[in-house]
Amino acid sequence: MPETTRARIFGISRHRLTTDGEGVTTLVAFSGCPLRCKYCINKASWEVEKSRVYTPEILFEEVKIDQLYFLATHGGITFGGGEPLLQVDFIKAFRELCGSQWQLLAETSLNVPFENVEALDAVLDGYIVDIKDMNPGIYEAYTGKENKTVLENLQWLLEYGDPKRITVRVPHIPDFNTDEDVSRSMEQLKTLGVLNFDEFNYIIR
Amino acid sequence: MAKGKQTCKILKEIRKQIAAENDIELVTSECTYQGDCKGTCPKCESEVRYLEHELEKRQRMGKAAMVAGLSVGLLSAAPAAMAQMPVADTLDSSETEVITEPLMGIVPMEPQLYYVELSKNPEIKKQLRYSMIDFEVLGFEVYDYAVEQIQKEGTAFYTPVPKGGREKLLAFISYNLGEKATKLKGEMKLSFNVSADGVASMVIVNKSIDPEIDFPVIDAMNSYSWENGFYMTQSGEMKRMRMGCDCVMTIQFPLKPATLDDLYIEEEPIEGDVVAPEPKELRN
Repeated sequence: MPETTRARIFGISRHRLTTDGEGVTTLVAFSGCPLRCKYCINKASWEVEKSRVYTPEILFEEVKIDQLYFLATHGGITFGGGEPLLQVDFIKAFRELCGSQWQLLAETSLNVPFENVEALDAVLDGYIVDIKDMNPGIYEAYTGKENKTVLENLQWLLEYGDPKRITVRVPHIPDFNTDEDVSRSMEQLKTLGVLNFDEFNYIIR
Repeated sequence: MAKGKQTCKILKEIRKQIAAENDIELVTSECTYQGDCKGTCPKCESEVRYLEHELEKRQRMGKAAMVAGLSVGLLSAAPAAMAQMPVADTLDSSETEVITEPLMGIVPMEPQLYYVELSKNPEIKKQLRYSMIDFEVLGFEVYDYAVEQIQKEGTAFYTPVPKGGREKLLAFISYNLGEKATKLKGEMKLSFNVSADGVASMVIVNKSIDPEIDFPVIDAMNSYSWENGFYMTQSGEMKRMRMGCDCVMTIQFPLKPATLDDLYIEEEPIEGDVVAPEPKELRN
Protein backbone atom coordinates (compact mmCIF):
# COMPACT_ATOMS: atom_id res chain seq x y z
CA MET A 1 0.00 0.00 0.00
CA PRO A 2 1.43 3.42 -0.88
CA GLU A 3 1.79 5.75 2.05
CA THR A 4 -1.15 8.13 2.34
CA THR A 5 -0.37 11.63 1.18
CA ARG A 6 -0.44 14.25 3.89
CA ALA A 7 -0.46 18.02 3.93
CA ARG A 8 -0.11 20.73 6.51
CA ILE A 9 -3.22 22.88 6.81
CA PHE A 10 -3.28 25.97 8.98
CA GLY A 11 -6.91 26.95 8.69
CA ILE A 12 -10.35 25.86 7.57
CA SER A 13 -13.08 28.44 7.19
CA ARG A 14 -16.64 27.25 6.57
CA HIS A 15 -19.68 28.93 5.09
CA ARG A 16 -18.04 31.53 2.93
CA LEU A 17 -20.77 32.92 0.74
CA THR A 18 -19.59 34.05 -2.70
CA THR A 19 -16.33 35.27 -1.10
CA ASP A 20 -14.06 32.97 -3.04
CA GLY A 21 -16.03 31.11 -5.63
CA GLU A 22 -19.65 30.44 -6.47
CA GLY A 23 -22.05 29.29 -3.77
CA VAL A 24 -21.23 28.17 -0.27
CA THR A 25 -17.56 27.34 -0.01
CA THR A 26 -15.12 26.14 2.60
CA LEU A 27 -11.66 27.62 2.41
CA VAL A 28 -8.87 25.16 3.17
CA ALA A 29 -5.56 26.92 3.70
CA PHE A 30 -2.36 24.96 3.12
CA SER A 31 0.94 25.79 4.73
CA GLY A 32 3.86 26.56 2.50
CA CYS A 33 4.28 29.33 -0.02
CA PRO A 34 7.07 30.14 -2.47
CA LEU A 35 6.40 33.87 -2.14
CA ARG A 36 7.17 36.30 0.65
CA CYS A 37 4.72 39.11 -0.06
CA LYS A 38 5.24 42.27 1.90
CA TYR A 39 1.56 42.52 2.90
CA CYS A 40 0.82 38.80 3.09
CA ILE A 41 -2.49 38.34 4.88
CA ASN A 42 -1.81 34.75 5.88
CA LYS A 43 1.74 34.77 7.17
CA ALA A 44 0.81 31.78 9.29
CA SER A 45 1.18 29.85 6.03
CA TRP A 46 4.93 30.39 6.25
CA GLU A 47 5.19 28.70 9.64
CA VAL A 48 4.88 24.95 9.91
CA GLU A 49 4.19 24.95 13.66
CA LYS A 50 0.93 26.81 13.18
CA SER A 51 -0.56 24.01 11.12
CA ARG A 52 -2.05 20.55 11.48
CA VAL A 53 -1.22 17.47 9.45
CA TYR A 54 -4.16 16.15 7.45
CA THR A 55 -4.71 13.22 5.15
CA PRO A 56 -7.24 13.75 2.34
CA GLU A 57 -9.53 11.32 4.16
CA ILE A 58 -9.47 13.28 7.40
CA LEU A 59 -10.03 16.54 5.58
CA PHE A 60 -12.92 15.04 3.62
CA GLU A 61 -14.53 13.75 6.82
CA GLU A 62 -14.23 17.20 8.33
CA VAL A 63 -15.58 19.26 5.46
CA LYS A 64 -18.30 16.95 4.18
CA ILE A 65 -20.68 18.19 6.86
CA ASP A 66 -21.47 21.00 4.43
CA GLN A 67 -22.08 18.75 1.45
CA LEU A 68 -25.78 19.66 1.25
CA TYR A 69 -24.92 23.35 1.00
CA PHE A 70 -22.23 22.66 -1.60
CA LEU A 71 -24.58 20.66 -3.78
CA ALA A 72 -27.47 23.09 -3.46
CA THR A 73 -25.39 26.15 -4.37
CA HIS A 74 -22.72 24.78 -6.74
CA GLY A 75 -20.20 25.42 -4.03
CA GLY A 76 -17.39 23.32 -2.68
CA ILE A 77 -13.84 23.73 -1.53
CA THR A 78 -11.50 26.58 -2.29
CA PHE A 79 -7.93 25.55 -1.65
CA GLY A 80 -5.81 28.51 -0.62
CA GLY A 81 -2.93 29.12 1.65
CA GLY A 82 -0.11 29.32 1.21
CA GLU A 83 0.15 27.88 -2.24
CA PRO A 84 -2.33 25.06 -2.96
CA LEU A 85 -0.76 24.04 -6.27
CA LEU A 86 2.18 22.66 -4.30
CA GLN A 87 -0.19 19.94 -3.01
CA VAL A 88 -0.81 17.96 -6.18
CA ASP A 89 -1.19 14.46 -4.72
CA PHE A 90 -3.31 15.65 -1.84
CA ILE A 91 -5.80 17.53 -4.04
CA LYS A 92 -6.00 14.65 -6.52
CA ALA A 93 -6.74 12.21 -3.71
CA PHE A 94 -9.30 14.61 -2.27
CA ARG A 95 -11.13 14.78 -5.61
CA GLU A 96 -11.33 10.99 -5.64
CA LEU A 97 -13.06 11.17 -2.28
CA CYS A 98 -15.47 14.03 -2.89
CA GLY A 99 -16.53 13.06 -6.39
CA SER A 100 -17.30 15.33 -9.29
CA GLN A 101 -20.19 17.33 -7.89
CA TRP A 102 -18.20 19.53 -5.54
CA GLN A 103 -16.56 22.55 -7.09
CA LEU A 104 -12.85 22.57 -6.35
CA LEU A 105 -11.09 25.90 -6.82
CA ALA A 106 -7.51 26.96 -6.22
CA GLU A 107 -6.61 30.41 -5.01
CA THR A 108 -3.08 30.47 -6.38
CA SER A 109 -0.14 32.63 -7.32
CA LEU A 110 0.66 30.18 -10.19
CA ASN A 111 4.28 30.60 -9.17
CA VAL A 112 4.78 26.84 -9.17
CA PRO A 113 6.36 24.33 -11.56
CA PHE A 114 4.35 23.81 -14.76
CA GLU A 115 4.06 20.08 -14.00
CA ASN A 116 1.93 20.91 -10.96
CA VAL A 117 -0.45 23.07 -12.98
CA GLU A 118 -0.75 20.44 -15.67
CA ALA A 119 -1.30 17.63 -13.17
CA LEU A 120 -4.12 19.42 -11.40
CA ASP A 121 -5.85 20.97 -14.38
CA ALA A 122 -8.26 18.09 -14.89
CA VAL A 123 -8.97 17.96 -11.17
CA LEU A 124 -9.82 21.61 -10.53
CA ASP A 125 -12.96 23.42 -11.65
CA GLY A 126 -11.48 26.88 -11.51
CA TYR A 127 -8.74 29.22 -10.45
CA ILE A 128 -8.51 32.50 -8.61
CA VAL A 129 -5.13 33.76 -9.67
CA ASP A 130 -3.45 36.40 -7.55
CA ILE A 131 -1.35 38.06 -10.23
CA LYS A 132 0.03 40.90 -8.03
CA ASP A 133 1.37 43.01 -10.91
CA MET A 134 2.36 42.14 -14.48
CA ASN A 135 5.45 44.32 -14.26
CA PRO A 136 8.33 41.96 -13.42
CA GLY A 137 10.14 44.60 -11.36
CA ILE A 138 7.10 45.41 -9.23
CA TYR A 139 6.29 41.71 -8.82
CA GLU A 140 9.77 40.86 -7.64
CA ALA A 141 9.98 43.84 -5.31
CA TYR A 142 6.69 42.87 -3.69
CA THR A 143 6.99 39.06 -3.58
CA GLY A 144 10.72 38.43 -3.65
CA LYS A 145 10.32 36.19 -6.73
CA GLU A 146 10.24 36.54 -10.51
CA ASN A 147 6.91 36.28 -12.34
CA LYS A 148 8.15 34.49 -15.45
CA THR A 149 6.70 31.13 -14.38
CA VAL A 150 3.40 32.79 -13.40
CA LEU A 151 2.90 34.20 -16.87
CA GLU A 152 3.87 30.95 -18.61
CA ASN A 153 1.45 28.97 -16.46
CA LEU A 154 -1.35 31.49 -16.94
CA GLN A 155 -0.82 31.51 -20.69
CA TRP A 156 -1.01 27.72 -20.79
CA LEU A 157 -4.22 27.67 -18.75
CA LEU A 158 -5.80 30.25 -21.04
CA GLU A 159 -4.74 28.48 -24.22
CA TYR A 160 -5.51 24.91 -23.25
CA GLY A 161 -8.41 25.43 -20.89
CA ASP A 162 -11.54 27.51 -20.63
CA PRO A 163 -10.73 31.15 -19.75
CA LYS A 164 -14.11 31.38 -18.05
CA ARG A 165 -12.75 29.15 -15.30
CA ILE A 166 -10.15 31.74 -14.37
CA THR A 167 -10.57 34.90 -12.31
CA VAL A 168 -7.49 37.07 -12.03
CA ARG A 169 -7.15 39.24 -8.95
CA VAL A 170 -5.34 42.50 -9.58
CA PRO A 171 -4.52 44.43 -6.43
CA HIS A 172 -3.63 48.06 -5.95
CA ILE A 173 -0.61 47.63 -3.68
CA PRO A 174 0.41 50.74 -1.71
CA ASP A 175 4.04 51.78 -2.21
CA PHE A 176 4.54 49.12 -4.89
CA ASN A 177 2.24 49.89 -7.83
CA THR A 178 0.18 52.81 -9.07
CA ASP A 179 -3.27 53.01 -10.64
CA GLU A 180 -1.52 53.25 -14.01
CA ASP A 181 0.43 50.07 -13.29
CA VAL A 182 -2.81 48.27 -12.44
CA SER A 183 -4.50 49.50 -15.62
CA ARG A 184 -1.48 48.39 -17.63
CA SER A 185 -1.56 44.95 -15.99
CA MET A 186 -5.24 44.55 -16.82
CA GLU A 187 -4.72 45.57 -20.43
CA GLN A 188 -1.94 43.01 -20.80
CA LEU A 189 -4.06 40.33 -19.18
CA LYS A 190 -6.99 41.09 -21.48
CA THR A 191 -4.64 40.69 -24.43
CA LEU A 192 -3.67 37.28 -23.09
CA GLY A 193 -7.34 36.30 -23.01
CA VAL A 194 -8.34 36.84 -19.37
CA LEU A 195 -12.09 37.42 -19.10
CA ASN A 196 -12.75 37.72 -15.38
CA PHE A 197 -11.07 40.26 -13.14
CA ASP A 198 -11.21 41.12 -9.49
CA GLU A 199 -9.59 44.51 -9.06
CA PHE A 200 -9.22 45.53 -5.43
CA ASN A 201 -7.25 47.60 -2.98
CA TYR A 202 -4.92 46.79 -0.17
CA ILE A 203 -6.01 49.38 2.35
CA ILE A 204 -3.54 50.88 4.79
CA ARG A 205 -5.11 52.03 8.02
CA MET B 1 -26.74 42.87 10.54
CA ALA B 2 -23.66 41.04 11.76
CA LYS B 3 -21.99 38.81 9.21
CA GLY B 4 -22.68 35.63 11.21
CA LYS B 5 -26.39 36.36 11.47
CA GLN B 6 -26.56 37.12 7.76
CA THR B 7 -24.81 33.83 6.96
CA CYS B 8 -27.16 31.98 9.31
CA LYS B 9 -30.18 33.51 7.59
CA ILE B 10 -29.00 32.50 4.12
CA LEU B 11 -28.08 28.96 5.19
CA LYS B 12 -31.49 28.59 6.80
CA GLU B 13 -33.14 29.65 3.52
CA ILE B 14 -31.12 26.98 1.70
CA ARG B 15 -32.31 24.35 4.19
CA LYS B 16 -35.90 25.49 3.75
CA GLN B 17 -35.59 25.23 -0.04
CA ILE B 18 -34.16 21.71 0.16
CA ALA B 19 -36.94 20.66 2.55
CA ALA B 20 -39.68 22.21 0.41
CA GLU B 21 -38.40 20.71 -2.83
CA ASN B 22 -38.23 17.25 -1.28
CA ASP B 23 -41.48 17.38 0.72
CA ILE B 24 -39.64 17.21 4.01
CA GLU B 25 -41.30 18.75 6.99
CA LEU B 26 -38.82 21.16 8.52
CA VAL B 27 -40.00 23.30 11.38
CA THR B 28 -37.61 26.19 11.94
CA SER B 29 -37.98 28.79 14.61
CA GLU B 30 -36.69 32.34 14.75
CA CYS B 31 -33.27 32.38 16.35
CA THR B 32 -33.24 34.59 19.42
CA TYR B 33 -29.55 34.21 20.20
CA GLN B 34 -28.08 37.64 20.88
CA GLY B 35 -24.39 36.80 21.14
CA ASP B 36 -21.67 36.47 18.53
CA CYS B 37 -23.17 34.22 15.83
CA LYS B 38 -20.69 32.24 13.73
CA GLY B 39 -23.26 31.56 11.03
CA THR B 40 -24.09 28.13 12.37
CA CYS B 41 -24.76 26.48 15.73
CA PRO B 42 -25.66 23.00 17.02
CA LYS B 43 -29.32 23.66 16.27
CA CYS B 44 -28.61 24.68 12.66
CA GLU B 45 -26.25 21.72 12.27
CA SER B 46 -28.85 19.30 13.59
CA GLU B 47 -31.30 20.58 10.95
CA VAL B 48 -28.73 19.76 8.26
CA ARG B 49 -28.23 16.27 9.70
CA TYR B 50 -32.00 15.81 9.83
CA LEU B 51 -32.32 16.81 6.16
CA GLU B 52 -29.54 14.41 5.19
CA HIS B 53 -31.26 11.64 7.08
CA GLU B 54 -34.63 12.35 5.46
CA LEU B 55 -33.10 12.55 1.98
CA GLU B 56 -31.33 9.25 2.56
CA LYS B 57 -34.62 7.68 3.62
CA ARG B 58 -36.30 8.94 0.47
CA GLN B 59 -33.48 7.57 -1.67
CA ARG B 60 -33.82 4.18 -0.04
CA MET B 61 -37.49 4.30 -1.01
CA GLY B 62 -36.49 4.93 -4.62
CA LYS B 63 -37.24 8.66 -4.66
CA ALA B 64 -34.77 11.10 -6.16
CA ALA B 65 -33.20 13.67 -3.86
CA MET B 66 -33.61 17.13 -5.36
CA VAL B 67 -30.65 19.14 -4.15
CA ALA B 68 -28.19 19.91 -6.95
CA GLY B 69 -28.18 23.58 -7.86
CA LEU B 70 -31.40 24.22 -5.99
CA SER B 71 -30.27 27.37 -4.22
CA VAL B 72 -27.93 28.91 -6.78
CA GLY B 73 -30.32 31.83 -7.31
CA LEU B 74 -30.54 32.45 -3.60
CA LEU B 75 -26.81 32.96 -3.33
CA SER B 76 -26.52 35.22 -6.33
CA ALA B 77 -29.25 37.36 -4.77
CA ALA B 78 -27.33 37.58 -1.49
CA PRO B 79 -26.44 41.17 -0.64
CA ALA B 80 -23.29 42.27 -2.40
CA ALA B 81 -22.06 43.47 0.95
CA MET B 82 -21.63 39.85 2.01
CA ALA B 83 -18.91 39.34 -0.51
CA GLN B 84 -17.17 42.53 0.47
CA MET B 85 -17.21 41.93 4.19
CA PRO B 86 -13.76 41.32 5.67
CA VAL B 87 -13.43 37.83 7.04
CA ALA B 88 -10.36 38.25 9.16
CA ASP B 89 -7.88 41.03 9.46
CA THR B 90 -4.34 39.88 9.31
CA LEU B 91 -1.66 42.33 10.08
CA ASP B 92 1.67 42.96 8.60
CA SER B 93 4.56 42.56 11.00
CA SER B 94 6.06 45.89 10.07
CA GLU B 95 4.78 49.22 11.29
CA THR B 96 2.34 49.46 8.40
CA GLU B 97 -1.02 47.99 9.21
CA VAL B 98 -2.65 46.62 6.11
CA ILE B 99 -5.87 44.90 5.29
CA THR B 100 -6.89 43.72 1.89
CA GLU B 101 -10.32 44.13 0.43
CA PRO B 102 -11.92 41.69 -0.06
CA LEU B 103 -9.90 39.69 2.41
CA MET B 104 -8.85 36.15 1.76
CA GLY B 105 -7.60 35.76 5.32
CA ILE B 106 -9.13 33.05 7.43
CA VAL B 107 -10.14 32.64 11.01
CA PRO B 108 -7.74 31.05 13.48
CA MET B 109 -7.79 27.29 13.70
CA GLU B 110 -10.45 26.17 16.19
CA PRO B 111 -9.86 23.19 18.47
CA GLN B 112 -10.32 20.09 16.33
CA LEU B 113 -12.56 17.10 16.87
CA TYR B 114 -11.19 13.60 16.49
CA TYR B 115 -13.38 10.59 15.86
CA VAL B 116 -12.46 7.32 17.56
CA GLU B 117 -14.14 4.19 16.22
CA LEU B 118 -14.18 1.80 19.15
CA SER B 119 -14.21 -1.43 17.13
CA LYS B 120 -10.83 -0.40 15.74
CA ASN B 121 -9.45 0.75 19.07
CA PRO B 122 -9.68 -2.13 21.56
CA GLU B 123 -7.35 -0.43 24.03
CA ILE B 124 -9.50 2.66 24.22
CA LYS B 125 -12.63 0.50 24.33
CA LYS B 126 -11.27 -1.13 27.49
CA GLN B 127 -11.06 2.30 29.09
CA LEU B 128 -14.65 3.21 28.27
CA ARG B 129 -17.23 2.99 31.05
CA TYR B 130 -20.94 3.29 30.44
CA SER B 131 -22.98 5.82 32.28
CA MET B 132 -26.28 4.19 31.28
CA ILE B 133 -27.71 0.71 31.07
CA ASP B 134 -28.96 -0.49 27.64
CA PHE B 135 -26.70 1.98 25.95
CA GLU B 136 -23.74 1.27 23.76
CA VAL B 137 -21.22 3.60 22.18
CA LEU B 138 -19.94 2.67 18.72
CA GLY B 139 -17.49 5.49 18.47
CA PHE B 140 -16.95 8.93 19.87
CA GLU B 141 -15.41 12.24 19.09
CA VAL B 142 -13.35 14.38 21.39
CA TYR B 143 -11.49 17.63 20.99
CA ASP B 144 -7.76 17.46 20.61
CA TYR B 145 -7.07 19.38 23.79
CA ALA B 146 -9.12 16.78 25.69
CA VAL B 147 -7.13 13.97 24.10
CA GLU B 148 -3.92 15.59 25.31
CA GLN B 149 -5.39 16.04 28.77
CA ILE B 150 -6.60 12.45 28.96
CA GLN B 151 -3.33 11.05 27.70
CA LYS B 152 -1.59 13.03 30.40
CA GLU B 153 -3.79 12.18 33.35
CA GLY B 154 -6.76 10.03 32.38
CA THR B 155 -7.51 6.45 33.27
CA ALA B 156 -11.11 5.85 32.14
CA PHE B 157 -13.80 7.52 30.04
CA TYR B 158 -17.44 7.76 30.95
CA THR B 159 -19.97 8.28 28.17
CA PRO B 160 -22.17 11.38 27.93
CA VAL B 161 -25.48 11.15 29.77
CA PRO B 162 -28.88 12.70 29.18
CA LYS B 163 -29.33 15.77 31.36
CA GLY B 164 -30.56 14.63 34.75
CA GLY B 165 -29.77 10.99 33.90
CA ARG B 166 -31.51 8.17 32.10
CA GLU B 167 -34.65 8.34 34.25
CA LYS B 168 -35.23 11.98 33.29
CA LEU B 169 -34.86 11.18 29.59
CA LEU B 170 -37.35 8.34 29.87
CA ALA B 171 -39.72 10.61 31.82
CA PHE B 172 -39.43 13.19 29.05
CA ILE B 173 -40.23 10.58 26.40
CA SER B 174 -43.12 9.26 28.48
CA TYR B 175 -44.51 12.76 29.03
CA ASN B 176 -44.38 13.43 25.28
CA LEU B 177 -46.03 10.13 24.36
CA GLY B 178 -48.77 10.46 26.96
CA GLU B 179 -50.87 7.50 27.96
CA LYS B 180 -49.56 5.30 25.18
CA ALA B 181 -46.13 5.12 26.83
CA THR B 182 -47.60 3.31 29.78
CA LYS B 183 -49.61 0.79 27.77
CA LEU B 184 -47.14 -0.51 25.16
CA LYS B 185 -45.07 -3.56 26.01
CA GLY B 186 -41.73 -4.57 24.55
CA GLU B 187 -38.51 -2.88 23.54
CA MET B 188 -37.68 -0.11 21.10
CA LYS B 189 -34.13 0.26 19.78
CA LEU B 190 -32.66 3.54 18.62
CA SER B 191 -29.36 4.65 17.24
CA PHE B 192 -28.33 8.27 17.35
CA ASN B 193 -25.46 10.69 17.56
CA VAL B 194 -24.74 13.00 20.45
CA SER B 195 -22.58 15.92 19.43
CA ALA B 196 -19.83 17.28 21.62
CA ASP B 197 -22.18 20.20 22.25
CA GLY B 198 -24.70 17.86 23.85
CA VAL B 199 -27.26 17.74 21.04
CA ALA B 200 -28.73 14.44 19.88
CA SER B 201 -29.35 14.06 16.15
CA MET B 202 -29.59 11.42 13.42
CA VAL B 203 -32.02 9.46 15.57
CA ILE B 204 -32.95 6.26 13.74
CA VAL B 205 -35.43 3.68 14.95
CA ASN B 206 -33.72 0.32 14.52
CA LYS B 207 -36.52 -1.65 16.11
CA SER B 208 -39.99 -0.18 16.33
CA ILE B 209 -42.58 -1.11 18.88
CA ASP B 210 -45.43 0.87 17.29
CA PRO B 211 -44.98 3.00 14.14
CA GLU B 212 -47.21 5.68 15.64
CA ILE B 213 -44.70 6.50 18.34
CA ASP B 214 -41.56 6.43 16.18
CA PHE B 215 -41.65 10.10 15.29
CA PRO B 216 -42.73 11.40 18.71
CA VAL B 217 -39.80 9.49 20.24
CA ILE B 218 -37.40 10.85 17.60
CA ASP B 219 -38.65 14.37 18.32
CA ALA B 220 -38.23 13.86 22.04
CA MET B 221 -34.68 12.55 21.57
CA ASN B 222 -33.82 15.44 19.27
CA SER B 223 -34.93 18.04 21.77
CA TYR B 224 -33.25 16.58 24.85
CA SER B 225 -29.92 17.94 26.07
CA TRP B 226 -27.01 15.75 27.04
CA GLU B 227 -24.29 16.30 29.58
CA ASN B 228 -20.68 15.87 28.55
CA GLY B 229 -18.79 12.69 29.28
CA PHE B 230 -16.28 12.35 32.09
CA TYR B 231 -12.86 10.93 32.55
CA MET B 232 -11.14 9.85 35.70
CA THR B 233 -7.71 11.16 36.56
CA GLN B 234 -5.04 8.96 38.10
CA SER B 235 -5.83 10.47 41.49
CA GLY B 236 -9.46 9.37 41.13
CA GLU B 237 -10.85 12.83 40.38
CA MET B 238 -13.70 13.00 37.85
CA LYS B 239 -13.39 15.65 35.17
CA ARG B 240 -15.84 16.51 32.46
CA MET B 241 -14.83 16.49 28.83
CA ARG B 242 -16.54 17.54 25.66
CA MET B 243 -17.27 14.29 23.90
CA GLY B 244 -19.77 13.34 21.26
CA CYS B 245 -20.64 9.78 20.36
CA ASP B 246 -22.55 7.41 18.12
CA CYS B 247 -24.83 5.39 20.34
CA VAL B 248 -27.42 2.65 20.34
CA MET B 249 -30.01 2.49 23.08
CA THR B 250 -32.89 0.27 24.07
CA ILE B 251 -36.06 1.61 25.68
CA GLN B 252 -38.14 -0.87 27.62
CA PHE B 253 -41.89 -0.29 27.53
CA PRO B 254 -44.13 0.28 29.38
CA LEU B 255 -42.65 3.52 30.71
CA LYS B 256 -43.67 5.05 34.00
CA PRO B 257 -46.30 7.78 33.61
CA ALA B 258 -44.71 11.24 33.85
CA THR B 259 -45.97 14.69 34.76
CA LEU B 260 -44.32 18.06 34.27
CA ASP B 261 -42.93 17.87 37.80
CA ASP B 262 -41.08 14.69 36.88
CA LEU B 263 -39.16 16.60 34.20
CA TYR B 264 -37.70 19.15 36.62
CA ILE B 265 -33.93 18.93 36.83
CA GLU B 266 -31.99 20.54 39.60
CA GLU B 267 -29.03 22.31 38.07
CA GLU B 268 -25.75 21.48 39.72
CA PRO B 269 -22.73 23.71 39.45
CA ILE B 270 -20.13 22.24 37.14
CA GLU B 271 -16.67 21.93 38.56
CA GLY B 272 -13.45 20.70 37.11
CA ASP B 273 -14.44 21.21 33.49
CA VAL B 274 -11.77 20.79 30.89
CA VAL B 275 -11.97 24.14 29.21
CA ALA B 276 -10.87 24.67 25.64
CA PRO B 277 -7.95 27.04 25.32
CA GLU B 278 -8.66 30.18 23.37
CA PRO B 279 -7.76 29.69 19.68
CA LYS B 280 -4.36 31.20 19.09
CA GLU B 281 -4.35 34.33 17.02
CA LEU B 282 -2.53 33.78 13.79
CA ARG B 283 -1.09 37.25 13.83
CA ASN B 284 2.49 38.16 13.46
